Amino acid sequence: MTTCPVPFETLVRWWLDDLPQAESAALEEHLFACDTCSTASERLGDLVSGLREWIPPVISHARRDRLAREGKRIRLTPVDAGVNARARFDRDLDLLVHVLRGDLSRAERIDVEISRPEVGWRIVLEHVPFDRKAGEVLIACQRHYGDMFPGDPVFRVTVVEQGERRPLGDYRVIHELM
Amino acid sequence: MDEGGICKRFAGRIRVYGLRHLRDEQAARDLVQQVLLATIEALRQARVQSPERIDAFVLGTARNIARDMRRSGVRQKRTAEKASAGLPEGWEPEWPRVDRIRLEGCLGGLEPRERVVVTMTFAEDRTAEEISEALSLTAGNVRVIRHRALARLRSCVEGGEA
Repeated sequence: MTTCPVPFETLVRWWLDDLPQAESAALEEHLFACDTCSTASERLGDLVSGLREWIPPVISHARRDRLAREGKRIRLTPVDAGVNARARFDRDLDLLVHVLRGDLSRAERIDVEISRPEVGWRIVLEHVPFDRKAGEVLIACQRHYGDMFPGDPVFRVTVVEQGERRPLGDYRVIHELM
Repeated sequence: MDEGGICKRFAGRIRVYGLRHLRDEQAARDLVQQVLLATIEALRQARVQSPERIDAFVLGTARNIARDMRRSGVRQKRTAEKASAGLPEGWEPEWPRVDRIRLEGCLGGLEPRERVVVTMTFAEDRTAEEISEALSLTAGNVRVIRHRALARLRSCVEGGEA
C-alpha cells in the first residue's frame, strides 16, 4: 500500500533506483493514478534530469570517457604543479579538461580548492574523483565559466594519506577564450 | 475523457517513467509518443477492458514499450518518429528544463557534505552504499543528506532560497 501523498524521500529513492522492486512497482501504479503525487514526481524528475546532465568542476575519468562517447568535443591539457599551462577554448570545443598531474599513489582522498586570489574568491571541493594509478585529477572547464568566474583560477590540490593532509601543489591554467 | 485529454493527463507521467527507466530525455519523449499512440489505438478498437482503469493500461503499456526500447534502442527510436503522426494536434506539452546556470548557483549554496553527496550520486552515479563507504557514514545517513539536499535544490531552482 503506497502512502499518499508519497513522502519526498520515497520519491527520491524511486528516482535513484533505491527502492525494493515490489515497493517501486506499487509506487509506479500510484503515480500513474494520482494527480498530486505525479506532479510532485515530475517536479523532482526535472531536477534529477538537470543534475544528471550537470558536469561538475572536477570529474572522474569514467565521466570524461562517457562525455566523449556522447559526442562532447574535449581538449585535454596536461598541467604540472607550479608550471603555468595554456588552454585555448576554441569555438568548436564543448569542454576543456585540465589534467592535473602528481603522485597520488597513496592518496585516500583528494580535495581541490579553486580560487582567484586577486578578487578573494574561492571554493573548496572535497572528496573529488581521481585516478590513483595515473596520478591525475581532471578539472572540467566549461565555456560559461568564463562569465561566472572570469580570469584564470588557481587549483590547489591537497592529498589525504593515512589521515594526514599533504599539499600536492598549486596548478594554474591560462585560458584563451575564442 | 477524449483523446486530447488522455494525452494531456498522461504525457508527463509517461515521460517521468521514461526518464526513470531509460535515463535519457530523447528516449523518454519517444516513449511518450509510442505509449500514447498505442493507448489511443487500443481505445479506438475497444481493446481496453476497463476504461475506468485507463491509468493501469497506460502504465502496463509504458512498461512493455520501455522494456522493448532497452532491448533494441535504435529500432524503437525509428518507430517513434512515425508515432507522433497518429496523435491529436498539439498533443505535446512544453517540457520543462532546469536552468543550468541557476542549478549551478543553487549547488554552490549547499553545505560541503551535501554537495559531495549530490555530486557522487548524480555526476559519478554512485549508490548510497558506495558513498557511505567513501565518506565513512552509514547508508541511512547518506540517504538523509541526499534527500534534504535535493529538497533544498528543488526549492532553490524553482525560485526559493537554497
